[in-house]
Amino acid sequence: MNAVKRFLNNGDINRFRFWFQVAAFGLLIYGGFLAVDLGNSLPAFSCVFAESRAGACYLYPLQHQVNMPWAQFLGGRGVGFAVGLATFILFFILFNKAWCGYACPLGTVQDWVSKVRTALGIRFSLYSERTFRRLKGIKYLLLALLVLLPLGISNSLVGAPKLPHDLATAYCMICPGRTVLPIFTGDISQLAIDFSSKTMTVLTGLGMAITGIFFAGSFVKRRFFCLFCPMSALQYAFSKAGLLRLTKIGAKCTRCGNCSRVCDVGIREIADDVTSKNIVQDDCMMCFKCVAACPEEKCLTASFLGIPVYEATVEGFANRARRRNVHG
Amino acid sequence: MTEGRAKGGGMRSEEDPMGLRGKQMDSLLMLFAVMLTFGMFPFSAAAGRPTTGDMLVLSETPPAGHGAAHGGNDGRRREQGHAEHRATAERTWYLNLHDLHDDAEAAIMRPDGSRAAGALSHGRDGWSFAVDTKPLDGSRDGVFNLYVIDRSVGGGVLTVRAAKAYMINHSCGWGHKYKFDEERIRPKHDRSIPLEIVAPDLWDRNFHSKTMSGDVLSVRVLRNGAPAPGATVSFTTGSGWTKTIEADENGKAAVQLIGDYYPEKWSLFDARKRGTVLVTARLETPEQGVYRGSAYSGTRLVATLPWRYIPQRRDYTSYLYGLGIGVFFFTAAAAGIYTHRERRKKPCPEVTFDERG
Repeated sequence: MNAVKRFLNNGDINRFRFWFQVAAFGLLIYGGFLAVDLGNSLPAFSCVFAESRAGACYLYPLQHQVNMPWAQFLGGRGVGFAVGLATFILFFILFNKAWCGYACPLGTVQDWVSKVRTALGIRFSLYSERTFRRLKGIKYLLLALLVLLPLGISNSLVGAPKLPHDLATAYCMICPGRTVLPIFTGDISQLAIDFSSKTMTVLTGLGMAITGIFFAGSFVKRRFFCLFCPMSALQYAFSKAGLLRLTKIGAKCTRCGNCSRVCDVGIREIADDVTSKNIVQDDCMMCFKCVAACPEEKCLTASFLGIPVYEATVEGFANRARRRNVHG
Repeated sequence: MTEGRAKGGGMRSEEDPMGLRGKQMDSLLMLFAVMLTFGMFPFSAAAGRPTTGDMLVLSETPPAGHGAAHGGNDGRRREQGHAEHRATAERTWYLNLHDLHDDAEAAIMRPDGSRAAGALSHGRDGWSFAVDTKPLDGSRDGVFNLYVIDRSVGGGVLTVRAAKAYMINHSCGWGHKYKFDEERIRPKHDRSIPLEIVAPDLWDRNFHSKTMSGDVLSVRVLRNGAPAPGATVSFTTGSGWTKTIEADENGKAAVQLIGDYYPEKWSLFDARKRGTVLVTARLETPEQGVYRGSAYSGTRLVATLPWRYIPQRRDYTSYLYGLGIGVFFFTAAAAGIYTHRERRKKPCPEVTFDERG
């Protein structure tokens, strides 16, 4: 058992993650060709607009399911909404926010874009702490709109007139997942502007504008879009119930900052917070690069059902540093 | 162009936009004249819905002159007509004619292949029957086949009118567990139906109807489950366009649906505008027999299948604008990032001094 633990702790999580992401991308985007159907409540951007997907991102059915009059929330359709949400929560708590770091196809695309930048020898960008704090609130705003707009189609919110039906999946219309992921299946139809109504023209135009910014941003900023992702905000509501956890023993932390520096999202609390045990932040994607970069014995630990599966160790840190020095 | 399409005449060209040529055009004109003479023209272009004629047609809205005109709640019914993805516990289907005979029968084939009889009743909205669509056990998630068969003997001819409709009964809220169930997705037919139109490609794996103007609408005409070569198949849209062709040796016929939605102003364009198309198959055979005590020396069969379509997506989308906006924002963002980085470059703080000084 100790040998297995030692093997895991000495492992190269980045290489493992790269191949896991490739496999997850293949499954979620092309799994439909193999008749794989994981349902409609996945906590990752397995976009419904990619025809050959193996399962659908929960944000699309969520918008559909909340688009109903208040009274129906207590009826059969309310049950459908509750079942969808419960399924999402069950999927999510299984792997917590590692869905983002290991399975999300849009996150994987961003990582691939970052690899191109690295190969070209261009340095990455970081937000200042002040900018980071300002920007991270956007995902909560998007999540609120994602629920309120469909609600406002079937209901009059605070006396306002009902909203046009074209806002039914407004978030999907502006999500880069809709425009980018179907391309991998040979479908470029989502790159067009839909002129069928003013609402659709604006939404699809905004979608293409965000797609352009997505590629430029992802090129210089690692996991550029994740800071604005409403799925990340929704996930965080249930993160504390996750079976997969990332914990920190603050007493062992020397605040060297390694963990924060390798963080793709740029979370500073992972280094600065020496009091919290559960160190998962709303922007965390549980890639565990921080664990791999930590030189302190058992300071950071990834555990599943309380069983450590990947721990920071002095030996593991030294091995990884040696491999990096040898292989560059 | 495939042989089947060439035979069906379904493809159009600029010179011959409806795909009609020579003798075929002449015969169609004659057919039009005959149909108009005998009041058989199935659709009224002005009204955009079937006129009575002699064909039985199933619809989820009451026939013209009923329902709303009689103070009924047509709004609700119209809503119900769009209810594929807003499942209700029961859906009612209406016939366009009042002249059903005593032994007319309605039949229901559920998505799982199980069958039930429909209870026809006559009320202020004419003949109708209700279909139980409660999603109790999954047997009702998918596409129902609905039939009404009416037989009568007159002038020594047995006339069989077979109205059919596909009813999609699905809510995405139920999930898509039949997505890869070929048997569930495949359109079914009933061998007991004297003449039936089967359309193989009207919905996707999630039970979303997918027909668009410009699509090739292909059907197969079956006589008690076997192909009916030589059947006369007409495709008539709600806007009045019609095309009649003969089913090939496999009972197949296909036509390309025309684009027939051109609102006066671009701002009035409705991407969900539902066009209607009525497929009619006619077959006359020299079969002889006795039906309910009346002898006949020939059989005339008429089958109908209504469907709908929406405008083609390319009618209202633009890749040029989409890619233009994408490239513009990519370039602007990249330029902004580059400029920002250049501005933040600080001069090297080395100290220079003159060694000779």
